[in-house]
Amino acid sequence: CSTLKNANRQSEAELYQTAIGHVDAARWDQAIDALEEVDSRFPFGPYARNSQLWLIYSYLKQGNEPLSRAAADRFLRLNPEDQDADYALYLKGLASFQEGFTVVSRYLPGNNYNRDPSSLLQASTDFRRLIQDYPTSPYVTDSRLRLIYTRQRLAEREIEVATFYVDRGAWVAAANRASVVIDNFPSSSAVIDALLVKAIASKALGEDELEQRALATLALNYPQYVVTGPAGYALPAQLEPTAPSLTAKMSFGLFGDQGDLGEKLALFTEARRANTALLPQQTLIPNTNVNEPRSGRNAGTETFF
Amino acid sequence: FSIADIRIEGLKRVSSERVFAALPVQAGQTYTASMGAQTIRSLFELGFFRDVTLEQDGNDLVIQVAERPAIARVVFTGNKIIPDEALRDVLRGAGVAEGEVLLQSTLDRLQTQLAREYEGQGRYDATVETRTRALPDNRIGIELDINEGQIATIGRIRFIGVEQVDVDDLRDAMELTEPGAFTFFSKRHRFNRQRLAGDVERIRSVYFDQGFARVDVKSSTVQLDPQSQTVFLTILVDEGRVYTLGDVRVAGELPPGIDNLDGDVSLTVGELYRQRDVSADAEGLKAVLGRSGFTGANVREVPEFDDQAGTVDLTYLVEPGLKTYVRRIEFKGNEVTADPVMRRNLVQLEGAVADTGKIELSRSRLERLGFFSRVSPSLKPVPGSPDQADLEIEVEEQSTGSFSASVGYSQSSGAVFGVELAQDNFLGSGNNVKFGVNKSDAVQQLSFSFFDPFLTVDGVSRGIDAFYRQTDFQEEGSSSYSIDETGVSVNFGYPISEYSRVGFSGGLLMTDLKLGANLAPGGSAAVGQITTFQTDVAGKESFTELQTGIYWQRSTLNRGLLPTDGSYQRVNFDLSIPGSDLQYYTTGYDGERYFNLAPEKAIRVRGRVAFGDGMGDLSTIPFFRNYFAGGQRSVRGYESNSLGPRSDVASGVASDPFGGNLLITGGVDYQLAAPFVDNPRSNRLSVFVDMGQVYDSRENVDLGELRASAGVAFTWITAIGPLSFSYATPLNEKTGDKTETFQFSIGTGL
Amino acid sequence: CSQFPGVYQIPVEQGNQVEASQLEQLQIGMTRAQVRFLLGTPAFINRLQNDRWIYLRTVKVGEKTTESSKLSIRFDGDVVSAIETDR
Repeated sequence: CSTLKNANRQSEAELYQTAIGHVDAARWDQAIDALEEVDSRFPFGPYARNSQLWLIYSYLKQGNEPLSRAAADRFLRLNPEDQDADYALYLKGLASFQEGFTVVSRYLPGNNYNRDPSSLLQASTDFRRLIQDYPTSPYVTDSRLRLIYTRQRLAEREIEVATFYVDRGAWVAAANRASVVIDNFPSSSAVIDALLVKAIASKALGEDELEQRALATLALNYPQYVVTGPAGYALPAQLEPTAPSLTAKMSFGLFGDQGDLGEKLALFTEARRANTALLPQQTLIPNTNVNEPRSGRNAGTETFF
Repeated sequence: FSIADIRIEGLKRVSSERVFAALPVQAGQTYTASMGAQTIRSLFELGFFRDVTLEQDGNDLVIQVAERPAIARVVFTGNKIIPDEALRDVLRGAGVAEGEVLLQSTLDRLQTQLAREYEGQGRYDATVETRTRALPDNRIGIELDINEGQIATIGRIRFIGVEQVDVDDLRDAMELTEPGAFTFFSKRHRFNRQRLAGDVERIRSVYFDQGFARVDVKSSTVQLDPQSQTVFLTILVDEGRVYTLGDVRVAGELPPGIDNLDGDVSLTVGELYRQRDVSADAEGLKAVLGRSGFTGANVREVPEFDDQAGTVDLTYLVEPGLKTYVRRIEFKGNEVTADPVMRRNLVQLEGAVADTGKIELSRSRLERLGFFSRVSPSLKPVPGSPDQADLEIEVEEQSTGSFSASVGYSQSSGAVFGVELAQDNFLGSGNNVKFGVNKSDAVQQLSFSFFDPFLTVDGVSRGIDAFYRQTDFQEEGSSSYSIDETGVSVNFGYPISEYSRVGFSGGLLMTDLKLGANLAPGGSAAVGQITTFQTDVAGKESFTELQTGIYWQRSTLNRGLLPTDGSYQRVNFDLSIPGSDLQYYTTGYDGERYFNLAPEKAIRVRGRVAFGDGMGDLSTIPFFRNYFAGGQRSVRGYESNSLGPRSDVASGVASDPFGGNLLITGGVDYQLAAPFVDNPRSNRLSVFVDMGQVYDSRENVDLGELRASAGVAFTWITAIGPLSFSYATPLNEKTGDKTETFQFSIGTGL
Repeated sequence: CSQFPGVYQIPVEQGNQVEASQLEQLQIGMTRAQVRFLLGTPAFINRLQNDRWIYLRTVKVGEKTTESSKLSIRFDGDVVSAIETDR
């Protein structure tokens, strides 16, 4: 019965090679079908592990992020100690990161990260796990860069919501959102906006001591954004609430500068954010620079002994 | 002998760890016969192996196993009642799926499970034959040949013990009925065990609602006559007696800040004890608590029955739980819509008491935007602080506008093309953008409008409209004139209460009129309008108007697209202020009211009246400002804009509609979600009666002239926008009316 | 923001509702856990001063502030050392 076994193995190798052929020719649909067949018909064969790896890669290149993530999860579950586990985790992070570029934000300039953040949150957990669990992995550098970018976006999203609540005059909500940024994203530049919002909100709530403390922390790290005067710290000029301009008063606030804080804050954060571009835009273009699995091409070993 | 090592041979699918785990024997123990027998038995119990033999190879114990075949393919035929997908689930439940190892027990379990499934569907005599076929590589194919047999239909339903309640009330309440006229469609005469269980509950609720608090539906016996496959149902009921309310109390420790809730209980002493009212009251108490932060409050009804007196002393036991605060509000599922666009509509804020009333109001405000097909808020407790919760609002976005492009060529009006984009939630910004370019021989039009509903955080809105339109009536027959219009206007609005808004607008409108030379003298009313207009403006042909307008609007609709409840009304008054070349005013009322019957089912009544009159030297509004009626958006069944006075009825030449300065339209629709579409919120099937007409108020306004039509319409929200089809037959058409039974449009119809 | 006559603004409610009955039971010497059980978690997150909890409450309807109160509790380690309230 050994000949039957070899013939059977022969077809397995053939199937696997055709799958790799599709991958090289970037025919993702056919590649995925072939890879799935290898994996399902020969779950314990030498090519099963490789085909699972290639599946993660092909789904991602096809732009089907959820399935790529699922394939990565499955691979990590089946082969937790595998030498390519860091690769699978990296691809899983990439899939969520790419999904974070929701339809709108892919084609719209500017910070449009105020859509559903769940895929960004997922990406940051995956990347952080990769950096912690596989410090020597070649993907750590890229993951760290993307992690910083993701967390920066999440922090800026908090600030945008905080600004909304400043506009609304909901000072506790604004202060709390600012505290979230101060506690969880201390290294991101959004801390500047957060400390300013915390100062503005505390002042509005009559907590001058808190306001001074927030501005003091800001003055320590980013003095250029605080006015230090004899009577203590004060907000930068652009954020001092001004009386609504005459045209604003005349037109019931429809035209002209109404001097309200929310708008000033939004303009301020926008200007500050413009000059701290973090990542070259090129790295963020979806599914371009995804590298292939390291040991993906050659046959593996039988897995059941 | 003492076992040095254990080896297993013949494993294909089953993983070695699983087998080793099941082995009662380890290396190093001394092998005895009983241990061998026990090993074989435990491996067989695993169910994966057809055959297990033990051999001794030196000091190694070698276990030879022959795996049972794994299932490669499952094929089933003959299933109609249970669709393939559902059947596959049942099979998977019984352990029969591709790649699974076929256990002996699986086949018999499959048999009983399928039989029970079919019994549940009322198919008592369904039979299932299972055949297996060996396949290469130790795999097996399973074929199921299903014969679903006939449906057991109900012969008779008998009630025993029903005296104090009308039996017909029970029969109406039940789903299962004896065969009758409509059962062919409703299939309610088909017996089904789940339906019977449901019916027992429905019978109990009929009794509960008439005060029989202690009713007991003793038994519902089912006799099946195999030959005729008919079922005889007997339902035995022990009614007990009617109960009226004794005293009603609210008990339980009330939280600080809430002193007593007795005022919030509507039931009073002596009333009939009806379960529905009692639970409504309990919900009412929960709502009161929920509005002041006790979102986790629980209210239990504790009735004490006094069987002799027939009274019930009812206590509502209140457990308020902790006063909860909303820590953060997060949105899920908004791929396109930006966070502030939704957050600005919320009435519930972060860092504030959780208020179920405000959360519900926020939900209905988001629904009213029309951007989402589903909005479901839920309070998720914050780990570590029991009195804080995060409000998570999950939304499902739907297409919020329409996009249509058309290119064509027709002999009568030459090259025709048009692009129209209308988006309510333009790129998720919450702004409404409309942009239209169309060119046909008679009309060249370019229009643009931008509306921002939230210029300020409180909802002050600002809209800008601009258009250029060149209409040329030369080719379209007798009344020959052409108009060039250019207009730009700005409008503002702001809320004056939760549901109503007011607003005003101002704009500049420039019109150039070229009257054709061959105006037939005298003749039709319409031509008369042109000539009187000419005399009014003393032959002037270009006009500039400064238009102003104010409006009041109130909307309590429960949804932006395809609402099923609430009402919408708008009143407006527009005036060309003195100093403009044309002075006239127009005013109008527009309203619709939905009467909700059931989820996704409502009756809608709508009406619109618009009237305009001249001022200064104009005896009526300029004829090119006339209102038109007819068509998909006003009176279906008539060609668009075809109602009202005609240009030269007298001469009988193909006459053109000319509109009028008074418009009256209205209609009644019965709307429901089409059963054949799975997502009930994405479509509307309606049966309607429309009516409408335009008049020239200077002639007599004869309401008898109102044209009516009746028909069926279907609106479906698709990715490119709502598509509306309608089929209507005019009811009182007159000679010369241009009717159009089938009409279609992109963008919400009526 | 805009001063249209009669612009309807949603009520802006912020912070904890502390009832008089609860306030009476608050004394010096209570632990943080006891304060939290009595008054609930402070809505205003105050990490810049970890020895002080602020229970503040503001309700603004339109331009008018209809309710505004503040209860500040200072802790010495885990025990309440000072209570300032403006009621």
